[in-house]
Parts: sequence; C-alpha cells; structure tokens
Amino acid sequence: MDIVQEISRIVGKENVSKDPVVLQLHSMDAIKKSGKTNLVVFPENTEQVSKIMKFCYENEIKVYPQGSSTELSGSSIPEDGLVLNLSKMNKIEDISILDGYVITQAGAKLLEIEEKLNDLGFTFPIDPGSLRAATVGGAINTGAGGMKGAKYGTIVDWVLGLEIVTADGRILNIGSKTLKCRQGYYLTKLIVGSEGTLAIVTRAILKIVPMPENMVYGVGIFRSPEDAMEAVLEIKKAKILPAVLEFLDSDLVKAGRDIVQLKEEGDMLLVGIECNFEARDRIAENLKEILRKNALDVEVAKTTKEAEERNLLGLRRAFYPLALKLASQDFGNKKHLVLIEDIAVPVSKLPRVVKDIKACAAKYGFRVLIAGHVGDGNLHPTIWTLLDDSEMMERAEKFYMDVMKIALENEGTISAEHGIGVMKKKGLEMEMSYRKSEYALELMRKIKSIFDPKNILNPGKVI
Amino acid sequence: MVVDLLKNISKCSFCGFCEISCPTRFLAKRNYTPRGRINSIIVFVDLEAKGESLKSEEMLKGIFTCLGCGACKIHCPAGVDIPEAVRSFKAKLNKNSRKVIE
Repeated sequence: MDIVQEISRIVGKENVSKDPVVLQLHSMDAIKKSGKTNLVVFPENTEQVSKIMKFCYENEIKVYPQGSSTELSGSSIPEDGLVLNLSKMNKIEDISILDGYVITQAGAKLLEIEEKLNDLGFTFPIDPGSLRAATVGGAINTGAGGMKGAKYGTIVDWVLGLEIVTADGRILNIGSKTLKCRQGYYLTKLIVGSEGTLAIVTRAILKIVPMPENMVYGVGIFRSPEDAMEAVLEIKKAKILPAVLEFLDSDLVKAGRDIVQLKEEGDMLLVGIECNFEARDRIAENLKEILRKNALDVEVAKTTKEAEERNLLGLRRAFYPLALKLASQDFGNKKHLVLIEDIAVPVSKLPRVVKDIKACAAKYGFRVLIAGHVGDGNLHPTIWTLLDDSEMMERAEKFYMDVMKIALENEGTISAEHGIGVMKKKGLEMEMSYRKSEYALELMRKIKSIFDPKNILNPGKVI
Repeated sequence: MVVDLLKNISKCSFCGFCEISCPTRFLAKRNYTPRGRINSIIVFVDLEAKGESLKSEEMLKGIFTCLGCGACKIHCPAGVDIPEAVRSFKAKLNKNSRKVIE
C-alpha cells in the first residue's frame, strides 16, 4: 500500500508533501524540539480530516495534529507517522453579536480573529504571548491563557462548542452555541488542553464580549516582591478587578531599563483596569493612591492611548525579545534555546516563590528573568541554554524540575497555560504523586484509551 | 558570507511572530513563510558545512517566492534581518544554481 497515494487521493497531491525541507520545518517547535515525520498533510475541510483519520485508524498510522507549532512544551513534535497541519482550515465563518460567539476553523490565527472582532467593537480576551502566531486549534489544545487571565481566565472558559474528529474518523459536534449547555459529561472542556491526544479539533464556537471602553494603566516600582504583593492586596481590597496585573522581577527590570526609561529600579507591577471612559479620572486617582503607598515610583495613564504614548507596557511586551537578546549576547551564534517556564501558585505565595526561584537559578548557575501574570499567580521564570551543551541542558532540566517542586511546595501547579507536552510529563507525575493522587493519571490513561484505542493520536504526549 | 549569514539567522527562535505579515503564508507549507525560509537556510548551510548538499525543490520554491517586501522584519523579536538573509541566500543560490538543483 502506498500511503502517499492513498492520502493524496483524499486531499489532492498539492496538499501532501514528502519534501525533506517541508518534513523538517513541520517537525520543529518554538523550544527547538525536533522530531521526525514521513509525511505532512494539509487538509482543507473536516470531511478530509475524517477520511484521513479513518485511513490512519485502519492502518495504525500515527497522526500528529499541528497548528503553528509555537507551543513551549514539545506537544506538536512528531515522532514518526504523519503530520496533520490544519493551516489551510483557517476560515472565520460566523460572528454573532446577538448570540455572543465567533465560529472559526481550527487553523485560523487568534490575532486575525481578534482584529475582525475589534472592528465590531468586540473581543476574544484570550491573548497568549504567541497571539501573533497561535492558531485557535493550538490555543484550545494547549489550554492557552494570557495577560488577562486574572479577569478572563484561560481558553477553557471561552469555548462553547467544538467540532472534533475522533481517532477512527467520526465527526462529532459537542457543546453548543448557547452559554448554558448540559450535555451529560462535559466533553468540550475535556478536549480543551488535551494537546491533540484525544481528538482532532476542526472547528470551534468561541464566546465573545464587548471591548472595554477604556483602560487605565499604572506602573509601580517596588523595593521587593513583598511590597509589590502588598499593592496587589490593596488593589483587591479596593474591590478592583484588573484585567492586566503583571509582575516583572528586579533583574528583568534592570536588564530592560532602557526600554521604558525608568527613574527607579526594583520589582515592577503593571496594572491595567478596564473602565467606562467617564470613570477614568476616579479609577486613575484610586490606582495612583494605592500604588504610591509603598512604591518607589509610580506612573499612571488614564487612557490606553496615553499608556501607549508613554510606553508603559513596553517592558512587559519586551520580555521575550529581551530574553532572546540577552541569550544571543551570551552565546553569540552558537545554537541556543530560551526556555520559558510556566508555573502557577496562589498569589499570596508569590514573594516567597520568586525568592526561591532566584536561589534555585543561582544554584544551577543560570541567570533568570521572571515575569508573570500575578493576578492569577502564573509565573514564567526564563533562562537560556546552549543546545549542544549536554551538561548545560541537563542543568536546565534539573532547574526546571526544582522550579516545579517549588510550585508544588507552595500549593501551586506545574503548568498554568503552556501544557504538558513532553517537557512536563515527569512534572505531571510529580504533581499527582505530591497530591497523593497517582490514580488520577491512571484515569487519564483510561480516558486516552477510550478516545484513542490504537494510540495513534499524538502519542507520547501528556501522559 | 556563510558565517555572516549564520550569525544573524541562528538567533531565530521559531516563534512564528513573522508569519502573519507574510503575503505568501497562505500557501500553508512553512517553507513559504519567513521563519520557514530562515530555517531552510539553516538546514542548507548546516549540511553544506558537513560537505553535503540539500536536494529540496520546496526549499528553492520557498526562497524564490519571497517577495522581498520586508513586512516580516519588524516583527522578529530576535532581531533577525529576514529579508536581507533571504536576499543574500537567493544570490548564493543563483551563483551556484546548477550545484543546488542537480
């Protein structure tokens, strides 16, 4: 049997590739994991995905679903078998203001959806760091979050319904267009974050909301993470629910000082509060007062435009480019990797966790930058390593295992929004063991085997 | 020249931030996107350094369909000069075209 011929019959020759460069480019991701595939297929519709899955199920061919491979856990990396790239299924099919949803194919990019919605004064508030590149299918499968997690949660809270193709090629529609929906067990939410191991997501119904009229932004520079958390507590006591509540540690602020021309150095809080235009003065004054209590320096902008003009969001946005720049300064043109961790702890534990992570980085000889969505306790400690230096890579792995341990010891979790993939499989086992809940892993394996009895869907990932 | 080219492009983190600005990305295969072009060049140069050659029609198609519009350049967080890298590589391929295609 000629697999290429059979798959070409389903999707057309132009949508199948065995070219060595295409194979290689579709076996990589944003943490420089690289795998191996024999074939890359670009289906154009759900029926084709269904036929491919039927064929692969009958012939026990492994299938690796893929969006834009910008994940940070190795979840999109193939190990043999066929890559099913959904980039061609990128239509934004319907937007309903009355019913409050957008229907989109899995390969559409989040940024394109957001731009279309913004034209209508609406928004899909899940904005991961990879917003420019991420696809809907990828975001759903990794359980993406973003800067507005404190107010809007993660993508699991915004998926109303899904069209999925099962391992044996059945097309199912789960969930609905309505905000309230009880369909027995909540399969929609089970698929979110399943990293392509349970089914192929081909279409999604996503909840949308109106864009805020205005945002007031504030930046505070503090002597210590404890002082910054004190300000967070004061914000909460004032019954303010910021959409953006970001923390940047003093080393990161020092490294990026030129970007925002700060008067002081220290730990930074960036606060963004959605409000009506008329309320901007009151909210801005309130925020200024709270931040001033124990900050070394405070900057407040009453509107988004003003915040942009004064570049208040500059340093937070520059976090990733800054890490890349510092890595490149340290390692020149040797192949290197910027590793972004993803833990979450209760907000009250953040000062201690930041301190412990810094001590841990020092122990393993890494420079660490820490930025995080402090509103939801999600931190992204970031280090850089040389890819071809096995000793350094091993140290990096130990550092990350220790960071996950720190999260668990502080009542947190090992992954907030990046998922498990292959990078955090050991971490997941550690977490369930820490919680004395190893049987939960057994249940997950059973769920996997029910959805995918021949283990052909993104095998080797998550569990 | 290869050393200069590599110095700049090895910074690519494969984040994909460049893609959405590229007019040829709708061709879907990654060799038609800025990060795909950059990583095709990395594959080619790595193999060349080992004395091997890369036989890939898709790499050539990817490189030569770049419109040179430069829309990707400002979006690279790693600061890779994508249009310049592709332009230099095109020139290199044109110079050695027979060797590459054979």
